Amino acid sequence: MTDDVWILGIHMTKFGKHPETDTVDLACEAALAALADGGVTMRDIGVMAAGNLLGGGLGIGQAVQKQIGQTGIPVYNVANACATGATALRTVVMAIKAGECDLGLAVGVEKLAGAGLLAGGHRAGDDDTWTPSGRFGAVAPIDGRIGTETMPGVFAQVGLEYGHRYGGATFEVFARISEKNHAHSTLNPLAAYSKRLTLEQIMGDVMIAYPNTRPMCSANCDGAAAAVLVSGSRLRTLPAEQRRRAVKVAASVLTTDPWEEACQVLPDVNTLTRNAARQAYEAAGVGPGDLDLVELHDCFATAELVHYDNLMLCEEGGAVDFFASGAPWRDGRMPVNVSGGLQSKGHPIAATGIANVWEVCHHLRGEAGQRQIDGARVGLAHVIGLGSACGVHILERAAT
Amino acid sequence: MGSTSSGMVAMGSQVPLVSYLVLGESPQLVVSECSACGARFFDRRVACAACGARSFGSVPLPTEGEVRTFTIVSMAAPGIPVPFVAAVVVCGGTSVRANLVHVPADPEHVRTGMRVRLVTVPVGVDAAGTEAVGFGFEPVGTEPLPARPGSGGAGSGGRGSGGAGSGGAGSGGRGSGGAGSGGTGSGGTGSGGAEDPEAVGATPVEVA
Repeated sequence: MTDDVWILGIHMTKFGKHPETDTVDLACEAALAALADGGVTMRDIGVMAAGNLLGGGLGIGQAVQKQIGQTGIPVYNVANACATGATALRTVVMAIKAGECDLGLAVGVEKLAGAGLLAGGHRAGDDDTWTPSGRFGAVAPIDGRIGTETMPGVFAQVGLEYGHRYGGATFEVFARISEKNHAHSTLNPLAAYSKRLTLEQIMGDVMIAYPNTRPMCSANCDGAAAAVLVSGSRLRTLPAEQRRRAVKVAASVLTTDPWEEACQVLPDVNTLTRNAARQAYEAAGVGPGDLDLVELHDCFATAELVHYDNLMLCEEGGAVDFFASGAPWRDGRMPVNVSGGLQSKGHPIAATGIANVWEVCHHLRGEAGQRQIDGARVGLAHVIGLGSACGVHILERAAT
Repeated sequence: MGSTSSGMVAMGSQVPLVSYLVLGESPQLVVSECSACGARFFDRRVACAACGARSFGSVPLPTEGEVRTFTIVSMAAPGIPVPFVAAVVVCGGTSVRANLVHVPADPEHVRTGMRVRLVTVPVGVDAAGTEAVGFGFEPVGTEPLPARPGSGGAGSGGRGSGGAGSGGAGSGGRGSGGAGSGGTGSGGTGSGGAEDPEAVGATPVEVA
């Protein structure tokens, strides 16, 4: 019987623009605050996992250690696209479950303010001579000639595919999902954007990839998040105040996409999310109906819709009706993305998979201030990184 | 733009944009099919991702299919003409990534479920006079398809689509504390202006 794993301390920096702060500084800010939140220091930490995708440096974990404590512990630098933060968290969970140590630190950081399209934002020019190369034997770059590699375009297709199967998924429905998240963000002081937008503003904004307009896309920004995890046996030796604020990791799941027809043509973000959710509910011994809040990966408004279904927050095929019922608004029956989500809180990619856990923990601890979901006991955090990897964490408040 | 393959180029030879496009009298897309389980692939294979077998045959796809999903890309890398329609077309049960061509790039003219057929499109001529030829799918028949709100998200008809009204379709929910009305915004995500806007989710993944 392996031991339980708990979140002892956790922190998310302000998301937005940090022009005076570099990647390492931001990661250190999150790590030190998470350690302080947990009432421990680097000397107590037995393992560390860290992620940063676009900083350009090697070994973000070691770079952080060099600033806040070189204690010789193992560091795992991880990369899993937008699931990088969740992967770092899960790496520490696995180390603790394996009995290698009692305390571990996970960190995710990204500086993206001002970045444009992260994929498909640049295309090489054509060569002087057509020469087949690469796995498709292409004589010239294919982005824009054979479909699109841009993320807004990929996820637009994901959303319209859902509409094709089940109907009802109009431009307006997707825009209303975005309206919800921007409205939620007005209560989150750490969000990159916290401006409420009307439906007309959202639908009338710059079109990026139909039906995703600009505010329906995740916001590039700077940010970091970090978590200190502890084994259940070690937690029991700690003072009552630390035990009270500890949050149980009831499930920590990472999946990749199993082969299905079409999955190498348009990424199938559904199957691996559904698989991860199923495994997580089983591990935690809870069902979707037990959740008090969900932070899911709304990298685009079109993605949020399909994940209502993938996470089984609604009946299969029922995501449009689920949204129309008002359920995912913060005072609905199943609040989704009360942080404002990636569309307004922001999406510093490697930090996101810890930041969404921070949001859920904040509510479970009763510390979410004016956006607190009252009485929250169980929450779910979901991320997906194209490629693909899906992380789902189910978190439970400590019994009091 | 995009005239069909035959004819256009007299001098020099032609090469396909990708190796799974086979040119000739009747251009076709030809996929690798796993000899063991029938899984189909467009790229150069090491083994079958579905079953692990290592032997493949070649299978031509039907040249007609149905649009399963699409997007209209308005922002892309410099050098890529926008807007254009990117889609997934199902040809005889096999999904194909392609652009839709010979159709206006707007949601009134493109919808999921529409029938399309394979056509070749010129990519360009290199220094040696060789023409690269790509492909796309064009609507079958002459019918300019009426926009059908409700299906496939061709929201068309227009924005707020009247009725539902901004304030709040469903449920009491809404209000959510927040900063009141809509006002402020000015132009949407506003502030970030030139910088933050375009977003984006994951890191690069697929790529040729």
